[in-house]
Amino acid sequence: MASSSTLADAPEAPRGLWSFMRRILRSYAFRVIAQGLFTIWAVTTFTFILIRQMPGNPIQIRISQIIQAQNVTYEEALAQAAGLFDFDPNAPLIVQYVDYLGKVLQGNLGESITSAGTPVLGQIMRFLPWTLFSIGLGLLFSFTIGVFVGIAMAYWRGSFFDNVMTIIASITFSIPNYLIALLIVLVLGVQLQLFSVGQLRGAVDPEVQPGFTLEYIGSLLEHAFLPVVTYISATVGGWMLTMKSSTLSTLGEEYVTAARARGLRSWRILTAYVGRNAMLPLVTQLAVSIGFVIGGSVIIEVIFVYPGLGGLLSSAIANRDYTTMQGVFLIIAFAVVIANTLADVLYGILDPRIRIGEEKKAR
Amino acid sequence: MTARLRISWIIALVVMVFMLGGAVLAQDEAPAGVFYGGWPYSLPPDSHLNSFSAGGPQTNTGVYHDLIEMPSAIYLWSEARYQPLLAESFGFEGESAYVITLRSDAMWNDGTPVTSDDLIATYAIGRILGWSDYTYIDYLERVDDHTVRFVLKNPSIVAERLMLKTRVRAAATYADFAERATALYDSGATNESAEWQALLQEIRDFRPETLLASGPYHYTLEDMGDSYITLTWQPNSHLSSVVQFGEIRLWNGETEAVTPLFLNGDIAYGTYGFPPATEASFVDAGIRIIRGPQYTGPAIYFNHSLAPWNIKEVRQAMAYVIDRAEAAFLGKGLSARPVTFMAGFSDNLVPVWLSEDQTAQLNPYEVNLERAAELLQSVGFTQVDGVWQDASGAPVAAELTFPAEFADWVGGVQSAVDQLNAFGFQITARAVPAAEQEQATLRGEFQLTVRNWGIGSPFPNATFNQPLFRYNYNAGVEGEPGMNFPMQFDWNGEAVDLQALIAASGAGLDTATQGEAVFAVSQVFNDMLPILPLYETYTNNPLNESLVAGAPAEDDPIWTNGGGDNFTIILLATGVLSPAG
Repeated sequence: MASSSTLADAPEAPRGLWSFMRRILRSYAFRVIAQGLFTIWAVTTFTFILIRQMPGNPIQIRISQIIQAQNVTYEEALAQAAGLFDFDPNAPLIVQYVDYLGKVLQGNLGESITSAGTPVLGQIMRFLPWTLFSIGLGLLFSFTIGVFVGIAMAYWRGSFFDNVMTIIASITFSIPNYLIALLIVLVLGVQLQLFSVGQLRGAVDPEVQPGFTLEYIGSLLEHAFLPVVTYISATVGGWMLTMKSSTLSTLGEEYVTAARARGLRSWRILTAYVGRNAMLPLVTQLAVSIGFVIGGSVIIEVIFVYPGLGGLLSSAIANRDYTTMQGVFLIIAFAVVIANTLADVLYGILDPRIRIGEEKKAR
Repeated sequence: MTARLRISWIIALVVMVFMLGGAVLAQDEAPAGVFYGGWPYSLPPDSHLNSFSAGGPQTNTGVYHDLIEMPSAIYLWSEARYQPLLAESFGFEGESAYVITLRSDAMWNDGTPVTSDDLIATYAIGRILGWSDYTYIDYLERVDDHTVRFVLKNPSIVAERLMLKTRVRAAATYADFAERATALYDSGATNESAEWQALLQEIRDFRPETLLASGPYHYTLEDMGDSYITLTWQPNSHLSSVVQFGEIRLWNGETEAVTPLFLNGDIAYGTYGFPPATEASFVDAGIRIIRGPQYTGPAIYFNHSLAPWNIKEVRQAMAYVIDRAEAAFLGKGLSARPVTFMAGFSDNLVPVWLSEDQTAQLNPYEVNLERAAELLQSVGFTQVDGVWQDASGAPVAAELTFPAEFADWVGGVQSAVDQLNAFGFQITARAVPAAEQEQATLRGEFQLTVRNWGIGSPFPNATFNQPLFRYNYNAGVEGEPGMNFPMQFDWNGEAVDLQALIAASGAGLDTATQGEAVFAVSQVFNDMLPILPLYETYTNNPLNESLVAGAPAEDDPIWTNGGGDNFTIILLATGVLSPAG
C-alpha cells in the first residue's frame, strides 16, 4: 500500500511539497518555534529601545559616579572617563540596532561597554551557574514544599494545621524578598550574632580551594544557604496558597467522590487523583518561574553579595551598560520561551484531554 | 603642640627619613595586621588589571588605587601644598613648563626603578585616550632618568593638579602601546583617524596578566574574591617600610551592603555616606564618625527662563526665608553645616581665598522674614490669604525636584520647602532618580531643582564652574540650556562678564590675581544668587578604633582634606594608622 501510494503521488510533486509545507506551517511544533522566535525578537527590540530611553548614557553615568564617589571636579572625572568606553553615544539608533541584531544572529552578544574588551557572553557564563545553583535550588525547595503543604492544607481544610499554614503563607508571601533578606542580616546576623555576616558573603569561602571535596561543597552550600532561605521564604507562601486553592477545586470533582466511594485510601486519592490534576495550573506558573530563575533575584544577590546574574544586571543597569543589559534580557527571554514551550508539552503529558484536542486540530 | 602641627611633623619626619637616607632599606617581612575597608568592585571578567580601560584597578579599588599605582603627589588642603608620593620635587619652570622629578628610590614591585619612561609612557597613552590634561600640556620632554618636563600651552594651577594627581603606570607593561601612540601622534594622525581608533581599541582590550605597583600594596585577579579583595603588601616600594598594615582587605558592596559589616565590626573604615539613623547606630556601637568637609552640598537651582525665578529679589527673598541651619541638621545631622558666607564656594575655603574685609562685604542672608516680604513687595508681589502672588495674580508656585537616592539631602530639601511654604509659597517637592534628574537639569526641564553647588577642588574656580558652567547653557552642549542663567549683564551700573571673571579666577599661576577674580565672582554670586546653596555636607565615615589605631584627633587639619585627596590614604601611606591592639 505504501509503495503504490508513493508511486501514485510522484507526478504531483509540487502539490505534494505544498501540502507538506502547509502541514509544517500548521504543525504545533512549527507554531511553537515561530512564536518563540518572534517573542525573542520582540523582547530584544523592545528592550533595545527601552534601555536607550533611560536617562544618561554610560559615559555620563561614569562621570557622575566618579564625581560622587571621589568628589573630584568634572574635569578630573572627565579625564578619568575619557577613552575608557568603546561607545559612541551619537551613533544613530538604527545603526546601533542593526549592528547589534547582526551580532546576535551570529551568536555574539557583543562586548561590555563599562568593561571594554570583556565579552557579554563571558560575563553571563561567569555568573549564570551561581544563579542557577542558588535560585534554582530555592525554587525547587519552594515549589516542592509549597505543593505538598498546599495539598495537605486543602485536604484538611478548616483544621488547625490549615489555619496556621494559611496565616504563615499569607504573611511570608506579602513580605518583599529584600525585607526578608535585610531582616535576616540585621536581626539574625548583627543583633543576635547567629552567624558572621561577612563570612557568609559571596558564593564560596575564598580560603577554600576549589575542587570536588567535601570542604568545597560544604562551603558552596553554606554560602548559598541565606539566599536560598530568603527566596524560599518569599515565594513558598504563594505556592502553598495556589496549590491549596487548586486542590480544593479538584476535591469537588466527581471522580474524587467516586474514588472515595470505591474505598480508596486517602494517600492514593491525594497523589493519583487530586495532586496530579491540581498541579496543572501550577505548571505554567512554574515554567515562567524557571525562566526567570535565569535572571536571578537582583535584590537578594545584591544584599548577600552573591555573584549571580541578578547582581550583574543590577550593576549593568546602574552603569548603563547597554550591551550587558541586552545580553541578560535576551537570556531571560530565551529561558522563559523555552520554559513555556516545555510547559505546553508537560501540560499534554499531565492532561491527556489537551493532547487529544491538539491532535484533533492538527488532523 | 596643636593637632595640626603634630600631623605635619609626622608627615615631614617620614619624608625627611627617606630624603636623608637616600635609599630605602627594603623591608622583607610584611607588617602584621589587616586594614579592613570597603569599596564596591566588579568581579572578573568585568574586572581586570588594565588601568587605562574601564573595569580596571581605578574602578575596582577607588581611592585605594593611590596605594597601588601611586601619583606623583597628593594635596594637603589645610596647608595648600602637595605632599610628594612618587615625586621628589616638582614645580613650574616659568609659565612655559612644569617639571616633575621622580624619587630615585621609587621602585615597582618587580624590583625595577620607577623612571621618566614610566611617566612619559603614561602620558603617551593618555593622549590617545583623550585626557583633559592635554588642554594644558603641549608635549613632554625627558630630561634625565627621573625628570620629565611638561611643556605647557596653557599654564594653570588646574594643570598642576592634574599632572601631580595622575597615577604613574609601568612602561614595562604599556611600553608597546606608548611607543605606537607616540609614533602615531608624531605622524600627524588625529583622534578621528582609523589608526587612532584602532590603537584606542587595542589599549582598551588589553588585559595584562600582572599589575605592577609602585605603592606599598598590589593585587592579582586571584585576590578578587566574591566578598572582598585583598591588597597585599609588597617590599619594594619606598613606602613599604612606612605602612603599618600587611594587608588591606576591601569588602565588596555599596552602602546598604556594607552597613551590617560595619555594625558587626568587620570593617574599620569606609568612604560611604550614611543616613543619620544609621550613623546613630554606629555611634551606639562605639564606632567613631569622621566628619570632614566635602566642599559641596545641596543647592536650589532656579530655571532662569521662567518667572518668577528670573527675578533676583525673589531668589534673595528665598534666601532670607530658609533657615539653612535647620535644613542642614535635618539633612545630615551633625555631618552638615549651613552655608554662611554665600560666597559661591565652600565656607572652609573662604578664609584661604578672601580677606576678612572682603568676607565682611558678603551678605550672609540670615533668616529675616520681614526683609523677605519687603523684597517681594518691591517687585510688585502681594500676599493674599497667606499666599504670595506676582503682579498678575499668579501664585508663587513650582515643582521642586531632587535626587531620590541622596539620603543626606532629602530631609534638608524637605525642610527648605516646608519653610518656603509656611512663608506663603506653594512648592511641591518631588523625588526623582538621580540620573534622570541630572539629565533633566542639563536639558533645562525643571522649575526648581536641587543639585550640588560645589565640587571637591581646593580652587574656587572649579566650584564656580559646577553650577555656572556644567549646569548652565555656556557649557555649549546643544539641547542643554541647564538653568539658563545669563553670564553677561549689568550689575551695580557696570557691565559684568561673569564667564570671563570665572575664567580669570582659575587662570595663570599667580594666586593673588586669581584671588581678586575670586572675590569679584563671589560678590556677584552673593548678590545675584544664581543658585541658592543650603548647606555643606561633611563625611560621616565610620572609623572603628577597635580595629585601627593612631587616627588623629577630631580637630586635626588632615580631616579637612577633600576631593580625590582622601585623608585615610594619606594616613595609611605615611604610617600614621596602625593595627589596634
